[in-house]
Amino acid sequence: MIPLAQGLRQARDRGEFLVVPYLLADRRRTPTVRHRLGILREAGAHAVEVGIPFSDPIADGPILAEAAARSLEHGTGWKDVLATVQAAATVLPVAVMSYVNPLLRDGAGRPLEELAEAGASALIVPDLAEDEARAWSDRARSHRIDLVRFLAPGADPDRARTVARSARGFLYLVSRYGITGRGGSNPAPPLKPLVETVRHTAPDLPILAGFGIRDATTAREAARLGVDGVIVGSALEEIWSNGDGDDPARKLVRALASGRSQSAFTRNPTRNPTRMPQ
Amino acid sequence: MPSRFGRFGGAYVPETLVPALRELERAWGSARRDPKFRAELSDRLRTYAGRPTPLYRAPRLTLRGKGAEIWLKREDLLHGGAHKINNAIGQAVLARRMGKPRLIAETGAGQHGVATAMVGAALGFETIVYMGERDIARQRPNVLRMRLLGARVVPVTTGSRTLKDAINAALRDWTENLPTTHYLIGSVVGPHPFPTIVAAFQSVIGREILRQSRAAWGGPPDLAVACVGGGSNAIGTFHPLLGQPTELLGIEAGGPAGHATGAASLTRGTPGVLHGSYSYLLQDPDGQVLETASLSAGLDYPAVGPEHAELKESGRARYRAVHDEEALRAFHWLAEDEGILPALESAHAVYAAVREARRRRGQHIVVTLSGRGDKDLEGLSA
Ligand SMILES: Cc1ncc(COP(=O)(O)O)c(C=O)c1O
Repeated sequence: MIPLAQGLRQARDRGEFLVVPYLLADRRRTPTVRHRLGILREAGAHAVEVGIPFSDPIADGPILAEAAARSLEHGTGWKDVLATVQAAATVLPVAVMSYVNPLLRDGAGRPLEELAEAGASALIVPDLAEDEARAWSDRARSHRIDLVRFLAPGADPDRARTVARSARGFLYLVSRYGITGRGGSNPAPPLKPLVETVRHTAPDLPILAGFGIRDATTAREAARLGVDGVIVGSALEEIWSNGDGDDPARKLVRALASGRSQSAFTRNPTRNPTRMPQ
Repeated sequence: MPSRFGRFGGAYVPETLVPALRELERAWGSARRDPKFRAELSDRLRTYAGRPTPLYRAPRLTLRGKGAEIWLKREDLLHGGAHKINNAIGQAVLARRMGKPRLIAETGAGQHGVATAMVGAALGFETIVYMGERDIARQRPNVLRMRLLGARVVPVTTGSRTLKDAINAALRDWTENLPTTHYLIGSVVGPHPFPTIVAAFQSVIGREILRQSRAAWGGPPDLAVACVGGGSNAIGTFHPLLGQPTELLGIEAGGPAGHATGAASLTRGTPGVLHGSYSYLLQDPDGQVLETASLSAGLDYPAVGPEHAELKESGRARYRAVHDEEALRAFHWLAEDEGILPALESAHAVYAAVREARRRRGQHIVVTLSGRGDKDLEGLSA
């Protein structure tokens, strides 16, 4: 499997709107990972974010938090996580999503090494803000893993530039005040200027919006901010945990992939990537 | 402002929270040097909370200990019945300074929720308190008090349904409502700058102890003992004594006798990250946080403030676990010997102090009695 960063840039440069679905590692689902992701790839997914369940997922709303709790009840452990990453990596480039604490087991070196061996090429850590992320980024890099950075509402331009400079793989734009699958009623300050600042600072860096993306409308809103694609978690998890089967999942990814074509906004897809990380 | 205590602490949070934490750090940095802020704080502590609290020589408990003199720092006499008000007043005044109209808090025993509800009412905030379903069941009187004080109590039904999960819920609420909301965290836990701010507000306990002990016997205590849940009454006790020759002893909840972990993160845990800081944590080999067990809801927490982790590693403070039955015994000792019903949390510290007294004849032990036991009576008589 090609590294996630490369896969995303290539697809973007072909003019595609990027879709990255989230799949939580769950022991009971390990046998179906390839099948599920095969469907999503055909529907237009470009990579997958494999989630490591954590007992205290503070950035997650009810749907993903409950899915994580169920997964732990099913006995999902580190071996199951690695098996899921391995299976996923046969279908799509893999970013692993983990809270900090599960990555600290046996000292921080081993887990990253094992995730890399299993086929992960990027890492998303929702409770690592930029200031704590630096040391981790170097550590990840030594295992050929890109540590993704977040940009969130309320950031000032300085913060946007800092994050854009250090981001690897892609930049994760948190599209509102809130947690996964659920937002508060407080409107976020305009995000478009932040996206423009990132573009200016790191022209080649893919930007994906996440948090609250659930259908064509929300994908279109994200596309209007000028991002390259979206990440979808709760909406997909809801389909899977309801046992709704392949069809709704396929439709969801298709709807998201059409996010840009239905929007007024288009970026110039012909670009010469001069700042290829790695 | 340093964000770490040795290798512990930091701010392991979603990027979304960063602007709010910075705003808080700035607000605190300017408030602490502002004479007007300090004057308002000390006035409210005196006229509303009931400070200073007495340092009481406990003669009959001392007899039971058969050694050192045991003195009680009477935080149980504060308005609301616990030390939590020291921090709640401080942060509420800070929140008003930041222009936030809404307060959220987590609570275990309900004491911090009550303190937040009181200051929320007194200073005119909308107040929401997150509380685990299990704690709601075992600390019912405090739930009623919070509601009467005008706070909305939101039951938390996820995870272990105790303090840890209430903090998760509060952090999520905060992330959703940053522009309007201050998270009035109840202990020296959470991401920087919370542990530093809460320690500063609770240090009034130790400052008074030092002043009072000098007046009473002409020197600092030989030993200071406090219970440790998140660790705020202990840090408040210890901070001003760090430069003194006082031994510091923190008492964690051992849970039922024979329980593998209880809620004793410092004595039985390993370093890890929970709720935004790197500290000691009860966790399994995969880094999943364990469910804890303690008779006392206020100590029933699988992590601990990062400064305690540093005090433990540096050896400046010692930590021990006292189990449920021992704490219960100390509850009855204090009731029968001194006519004081302590909170079950504080009873853990009382037990350790009585045990320490024997080999310390001629010394002075100060125990911080962090709260009173009214909230626990239902469970005790059942
Ligand atoms: C009376 C009392 N003591 C102690 C605690 C534990 O908190 P901390 O360790 O922060 O002092 C609580 C918490 O609810 C409490 O109510």
